[in-house]
Amino acid sequence: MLAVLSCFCGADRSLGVTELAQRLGMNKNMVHRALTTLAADGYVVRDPGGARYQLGYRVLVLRGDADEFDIRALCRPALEELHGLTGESVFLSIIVGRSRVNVDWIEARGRRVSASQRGRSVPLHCTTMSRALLAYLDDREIADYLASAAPLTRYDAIFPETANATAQDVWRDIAAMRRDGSITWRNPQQYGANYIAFPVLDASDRPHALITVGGPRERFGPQRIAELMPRMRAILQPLQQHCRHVLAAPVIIEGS
Amino acid sequence: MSSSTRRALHILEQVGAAEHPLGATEIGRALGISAGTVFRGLDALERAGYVGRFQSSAKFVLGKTVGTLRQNLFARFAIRDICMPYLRQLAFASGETASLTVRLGWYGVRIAAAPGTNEVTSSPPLGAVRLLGEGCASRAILASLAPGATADYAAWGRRHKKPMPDLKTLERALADIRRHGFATEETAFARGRAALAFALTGGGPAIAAIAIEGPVLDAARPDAHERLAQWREIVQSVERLVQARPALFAGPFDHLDPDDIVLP
Repeated sequence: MLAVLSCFCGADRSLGVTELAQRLGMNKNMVHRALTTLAADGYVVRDPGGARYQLGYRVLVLRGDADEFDIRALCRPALEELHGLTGESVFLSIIVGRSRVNVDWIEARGRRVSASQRGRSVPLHCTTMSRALLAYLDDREIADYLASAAPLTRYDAIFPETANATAQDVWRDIAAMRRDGSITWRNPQQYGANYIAFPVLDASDRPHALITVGGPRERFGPQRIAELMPRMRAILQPLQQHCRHVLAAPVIIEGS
Repeated sequence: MSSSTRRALHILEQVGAAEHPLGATEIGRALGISAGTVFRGLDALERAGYVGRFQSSAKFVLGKTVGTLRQNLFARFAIRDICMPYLRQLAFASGETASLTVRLGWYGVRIAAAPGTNEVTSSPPLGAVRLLGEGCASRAILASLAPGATADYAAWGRRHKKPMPDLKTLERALADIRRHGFATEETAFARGRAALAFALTGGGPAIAAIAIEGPVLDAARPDAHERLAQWREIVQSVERLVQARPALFAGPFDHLDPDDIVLP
């Protein structure tokens, strides 16, 4: 019976008895009995045509606290899986005001990319990691932000990896991120570390968060990243899909 | 139907109703069955992903499958997807969380929300269900229904032992909503202030309501707020879309008799 209900997890708006029986390898009688039990409580209901069944409203009573949208809790399993897959450090970042803040991370052992910037807020134009989040604001917001941001070179001493950046460099990173759905970069400071970052977006492509994996170049070079790419994407896909159902928190760029 | 499959649903609903992870003993006590029986049920539920272990303990919380089914249910309301950008506009214009509540029989279900920058408490979860007579969003929908619907709602509520306000009081409140063009509700933590909701109609009765959940209005003078017209304009933009293709936005349970939809 649970297997019958699970069939309504897919994209089908409605399912018929024959279809369900075929899919589950059960006989029609068993499927019919399961549907009758499920329908008695409203877990499924007959569709407007009357011959097929659609998902019912009863799942609304199953609340728990599963729907609380806590981005850190939601992303944690994916961070752990990515760390397990790559053995490298992983970071979760969100936008707070006009900055990026890392709110969760797992550090690799030994030579590694460290979370030296724990909880520190980094302006959205400094470092590629920040720009990867900036990329998912709209062009007008980004232009407003860049117009009022501190000169792009002011923080060069703190973030030498993006020193001497121009607005053009920022826009180039933004275009790359939007085009590929991920971005890779190198930071000569941390053992010449390589990073790759993926966005977690809502249905209108506004940013919830950014997930970054980074490691020393000898272990986590471009080739290794390319090899791991399909598996990293597979880990992130269900999370990214889930987060599309919830609107991202608002970002206020104006009023500096 | 064998009672064991039915029992699995009852166990699932215990886990689903609890605000903390549940163990087999606790569930057994609530349902009046042995912990061993509960454990077999939990095992079947766990294998199908309906429940999961809380931090590898012997206590259970709802599993991923339930989340997927719930998201699927919300997605069946076509109104949700076109509302998203407008909810965001409203949240931006008001600074408060803006939400979408759809009609389900004699209930309202909150299926989408855009968080506001002034939000300090955690808002109710998506999927929260309220009776149509409770809360501004649900009441905005109730006020838009055909004359006589309120009496039907009250009769249904009494039959199923739902808490019902006095019919006259309710009718008066609904008349106020029709006069203002929006419903209000006092909010926690802000005495004398009120949240508001506009019904979303495709011409006839409302299919949904859009609420601004923060304490934006002066409860004594709800009409006086200078930005009401701006907010109303945003809601009307959605209404124009619905009115252009009303059939597209019919609810997934509109073919059922509202009296038949009863949730515990």
